[in-house]
Amino acid sequence: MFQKIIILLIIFFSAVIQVSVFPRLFPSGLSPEIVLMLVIFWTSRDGFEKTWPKAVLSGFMLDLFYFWPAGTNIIAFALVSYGVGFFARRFTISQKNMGLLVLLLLSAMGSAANSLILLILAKIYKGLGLELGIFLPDFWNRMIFLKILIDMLLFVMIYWPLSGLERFLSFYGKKSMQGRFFK
Amino acid sequence: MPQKYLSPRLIKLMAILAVCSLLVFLNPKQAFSPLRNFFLTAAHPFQKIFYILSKKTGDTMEFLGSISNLHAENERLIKENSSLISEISNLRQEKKENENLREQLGLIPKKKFDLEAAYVIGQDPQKFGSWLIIDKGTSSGIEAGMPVIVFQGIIIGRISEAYLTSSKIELLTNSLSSINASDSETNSRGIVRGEFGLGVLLDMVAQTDVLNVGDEVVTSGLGSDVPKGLLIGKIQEIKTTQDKLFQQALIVPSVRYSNLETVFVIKKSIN
Repeated sequence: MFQKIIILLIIFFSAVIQVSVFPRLFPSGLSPEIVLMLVIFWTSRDGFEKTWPKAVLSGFMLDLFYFWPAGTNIIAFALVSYGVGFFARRFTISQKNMGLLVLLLLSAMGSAANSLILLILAKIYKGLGLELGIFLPDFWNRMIFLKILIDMLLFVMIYWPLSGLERFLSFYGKKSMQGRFFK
Repeated sequence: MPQKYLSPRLIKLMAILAVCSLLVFLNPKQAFSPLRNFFLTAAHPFQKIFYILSKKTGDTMEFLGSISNLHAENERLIKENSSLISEISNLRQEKKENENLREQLGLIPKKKFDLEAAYVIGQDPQKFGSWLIIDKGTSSGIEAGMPVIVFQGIIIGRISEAYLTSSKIELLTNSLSSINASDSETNSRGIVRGEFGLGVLLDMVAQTDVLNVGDEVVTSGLGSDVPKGLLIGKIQEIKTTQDKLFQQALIVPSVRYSNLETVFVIKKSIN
């Protein structure tokens, strides 16, 4: 339960930061996607099987904060998580051998894929005549490369703190399991 | 489909996609409003603190980046200041004239609004930002549809969703936004709508009407709760629609929406 609350708080505060902090610090269109980077981080470690609930929760939280129709970011995050999980399994067999370079590549791919998926969804909405108020730039412009780079830098910045937190949570989980066992 | 392709992972993904597609298509906004309200209320104090801190950080970064230009900027400002002093004396005379004209035209004087001041605590992080979040909501008497202005009566948009302690402003640059407006010089009427965050367009102006580059565009007060006479921006470019039936004018908004700190919600006009 404690772990789940911590995860929920991480996603919640990341969404708050994404809406209230980054737009003031980065030029329009280059605001990094911290919630997406969290999903990529978790998927690269645990795979899609274990991460999909976190991806769904993250997407839902972002939909609430973006005022977008519930489901939009969930679709994007679920697809990105599936893709990252797929490639993470193929890039390396054991987690220990997975270098940061491979993770960076996955974060870049995830960032690009997320932008592309959202753009496709926005076009589908428009085609269906649903005025949902989602505005995204064309995918292939110079900005997208800069945005991917910024997302990668953010991934590096959150990588070690998150790894430390994961270790703490797994240690706490084991301890509480032991406690329960001995009682 | 052969079973080897239908792994549990893929089945889960397809289930998520199916449920979400249904959610998006049905778009039950009201169903999620209580949840959105809960999370926005919970996030409200943090958003306020984070936004103020990030603004200060952003300002410091901007300042550090502009140090090399300070000397030239200072000289330019001194020149601008002296020209502004002379302009003020002219404007004082025009102010009286303006008040008389406002009375004659039936425009609502800017002082006669019941305003609710609010801080901006969040904004659209996507390119072509089209909305802002403010720290006032239904608990302060704010409702959907209320116009939002900044200093000197410049309209920036309308409240599209109001929650307990925060509200969403749909900016004029949002393509879903449309407001009746007119050219303040020629009185040509049209509809102002957003251009996907790129700018604002005065549309549906009759071919027989006159529009001039540089004219100010103000709200016309027709068909909505938006009072007459609120400034939208200046005309930058005039063009004709493809079917040649109407004129369109590209408007440069009078403020940069991404840098706003304080806004005022017009709760009602005081007569």
